Amino acid sequence: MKEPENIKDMILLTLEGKHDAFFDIYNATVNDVAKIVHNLIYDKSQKDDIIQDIYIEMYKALSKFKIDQPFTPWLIGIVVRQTKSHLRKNWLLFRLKNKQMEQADQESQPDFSGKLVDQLDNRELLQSIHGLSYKLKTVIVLRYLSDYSQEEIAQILNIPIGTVRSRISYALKVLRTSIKKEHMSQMEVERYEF
Amino acid sequence: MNFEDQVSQVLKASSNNMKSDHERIKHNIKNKIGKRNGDYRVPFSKFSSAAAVLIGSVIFVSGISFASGVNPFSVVVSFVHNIGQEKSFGSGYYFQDGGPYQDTADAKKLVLSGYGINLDQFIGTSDYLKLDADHFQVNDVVAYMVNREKQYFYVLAKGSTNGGHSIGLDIYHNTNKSLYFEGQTTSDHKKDIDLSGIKATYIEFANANTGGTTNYLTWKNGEWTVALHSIDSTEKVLAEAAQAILQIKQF
Repeated sequence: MKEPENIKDMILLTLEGKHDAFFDIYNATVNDVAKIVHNLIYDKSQKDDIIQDIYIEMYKALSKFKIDQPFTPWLIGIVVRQTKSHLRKNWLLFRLKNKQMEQADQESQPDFSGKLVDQLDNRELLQSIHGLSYKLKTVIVLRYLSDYSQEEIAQILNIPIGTVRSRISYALKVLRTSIKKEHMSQMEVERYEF
Repeated sequence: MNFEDQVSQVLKASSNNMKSDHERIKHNIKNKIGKRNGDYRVPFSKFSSAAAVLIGSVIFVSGISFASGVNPFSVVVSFVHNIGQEKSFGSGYYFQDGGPYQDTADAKKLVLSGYGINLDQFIGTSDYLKLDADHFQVNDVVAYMVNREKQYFYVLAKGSTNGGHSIGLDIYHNTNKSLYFEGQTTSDHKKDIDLSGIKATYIEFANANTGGTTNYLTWKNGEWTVALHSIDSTEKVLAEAAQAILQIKQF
């Protein structure tokens, strides 16, 4: 995810109370944010609610942002934390109707091109990524979807780079192992499924 | 193609057909931040309380109206479920008419990693049910103060039992609304049980395909409505957890 042009100006204008500037930030970043959220959650029907929460949280936190630091890693940190927070809350509160789930599933069918055997492999791999714990899924998504370096991921997640390395390594190992199995057995609390 | 390239390709492809209504999201955000009248530095508690009213935003069941002479020792429970071979299983609970209280829009929120004096001060009492340290490991606690004068507040705690079962304890103070439990299950399991003199309702959602369960134990006592819940445990585990909680705090 690239740093949007003129981002510092937009931030400063937002802090002066110019809502249009805030929505310039939104427009410049929302596609990348949506892709990350999409890959971090299982129930895709929650995606828009989470994105909304992320930007409200960003708006709240903007006054604490240090203007000389890179913006996008700071924003992605909010994305990761807010998505996790949303998932934690919602497994308690209310289960979306089955039809909504199915509709969301259908809408979010991935677009895999290529040979049939590759498509099947890819679906299996995507399922395995969904089955990872949130911590592991986060590093995989940031590394292989958003193409962040290990150093950048460490900065975003505020963890040592060694931890990033070990999480990526372990996640890849889990994925390699799990795609050999027919069924994923790991369940996550975040899915609130059983 | 090596494996890491394949992971990258899969993740990027999965986002290609992704649909998001960015304009609707923007509209919703505008509505919320618009209430601030352009003054950025006004305290933003309203927005942090948005989560508190999330319950209300997704409720579409019009509940029964609650009589003013509510029995303070019996929580009214509605168990709504679909039985069958559903594609996906899940469950949750919510309150009638959108939330535990009439209006949670201005709720203040406190997020902590455990109980303590900060929480006690926030809700104005140390006299409430807890996942105590002897029996449970607490991971996080979220409290919402809806109305201090009327003592409308609730505390949601998550953790695990010493046996390793995930568990959540949700306590609601001074609400008289009914609780709805809803989800998919392959077995119809609801019954009343006795917790040392307190009548509680046990509800279990099960997925026979995976062997997974989500179960709830709920009761009301005086000013408190309680929902204790766990994943992939048993009635025994949940009942024992309730007994442990009640031993610490005897109403």
